[in-house]
Amino acid sequence: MNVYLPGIKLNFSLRSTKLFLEPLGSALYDFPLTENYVEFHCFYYLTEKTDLTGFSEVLSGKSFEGAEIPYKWAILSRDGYSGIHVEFYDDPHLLRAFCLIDFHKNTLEISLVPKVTGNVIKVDPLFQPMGSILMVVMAHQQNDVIIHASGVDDDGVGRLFTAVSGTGKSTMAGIWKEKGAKVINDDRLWLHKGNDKWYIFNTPMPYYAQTPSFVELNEIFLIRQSLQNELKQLNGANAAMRFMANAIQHFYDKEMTGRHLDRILDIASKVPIYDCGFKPDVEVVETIRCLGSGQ
Amino acid sequence: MEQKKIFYRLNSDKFVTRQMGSEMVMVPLSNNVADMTSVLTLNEVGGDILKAFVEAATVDEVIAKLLKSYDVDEPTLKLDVEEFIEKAMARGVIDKVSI
Repeated sequence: MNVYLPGIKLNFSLRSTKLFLEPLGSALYDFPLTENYVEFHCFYYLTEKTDLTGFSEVLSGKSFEGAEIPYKWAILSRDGYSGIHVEFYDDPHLLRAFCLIDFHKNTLEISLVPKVTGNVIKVDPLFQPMGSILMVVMAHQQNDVIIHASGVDDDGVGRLFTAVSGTGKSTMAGIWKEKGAKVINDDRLWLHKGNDKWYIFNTPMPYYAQTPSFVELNEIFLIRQSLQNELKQLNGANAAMRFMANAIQHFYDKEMTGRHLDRILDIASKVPIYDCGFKPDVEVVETIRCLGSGQ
Repeated sequence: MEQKKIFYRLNSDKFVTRQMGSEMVMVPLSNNVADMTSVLTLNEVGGDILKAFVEAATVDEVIAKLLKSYDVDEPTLKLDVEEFIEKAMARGVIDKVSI
């Protein structure tokens, strides 16, 4: 079984007879999304204990308040290896999961600790939250960016709308859909560079299957709700930093931060960034479409 | 008695710095983790002052260096550099160092 991400092919195989992979969010990502990709071999198995010997924690986090299945996660490091450890507090089937990442051999070893030894376990290969964290780690490895943003393909023009939660990313995507644009995703995008251009991709989501889609990134909008539609092009470092603020940044050393900063500045140097106050109706679509026609 | 010189130096371990056009971007690191909520941007002059402190330097040395590239009188530049140092020290961008 294979799942494709931007620039990446994940080839899955099982090493336990009582473990089954049931793609849900990743079910439709079964064809290459990019011309070139790096292949990773991913082995899944059940175990009684995750082996974290020699690893030290470099970054950690936890599920948001009120999550249905609370968890905590940690990114670990050991002599050039990376690991992602997840501990579930109230999952009906799993206690823990650990993903050992070897970027030299391009392998992932995913061990799962079931709640009851001997039970059959069925998981999406990119189960939550392992899949999301893994995508952030892999995106960074190939110098890509994952960002809280909605994105649309408006007849071949790729537009990205980013803001903090609750500011209107989904509302904006819905408005564009109403006006005939294709929504790439309304919450999270993977920005991948190819042939010196940046593209926005959607990614497998935790709880629903979506069709993979992408478009070249042509315009970036930092959105905020306003009584009237207003657009102002931003320039320079300030524009780049405001854009960067909504990127997912699980970075834990100077080199990683430097590489992230380089790609953000690269995007900002190639794609115009606008401050966009908008009122939530279809008028904003025409206002934005006029940008391209120079009106 | 000769007055002891005070040297300052960019705290390069605690920041990731990049140039964007004429501006400079600085991302602070807290325990090696990037603190994206406290990103600093410097204009061209600020960037040039900061670059003059990559190696430990005194205020007078930096002023002498900058006077070569800026058409400004020395007292004005001195005020600018001293103000910069005060703000940069407060944010941990530069430190006083012993030579």
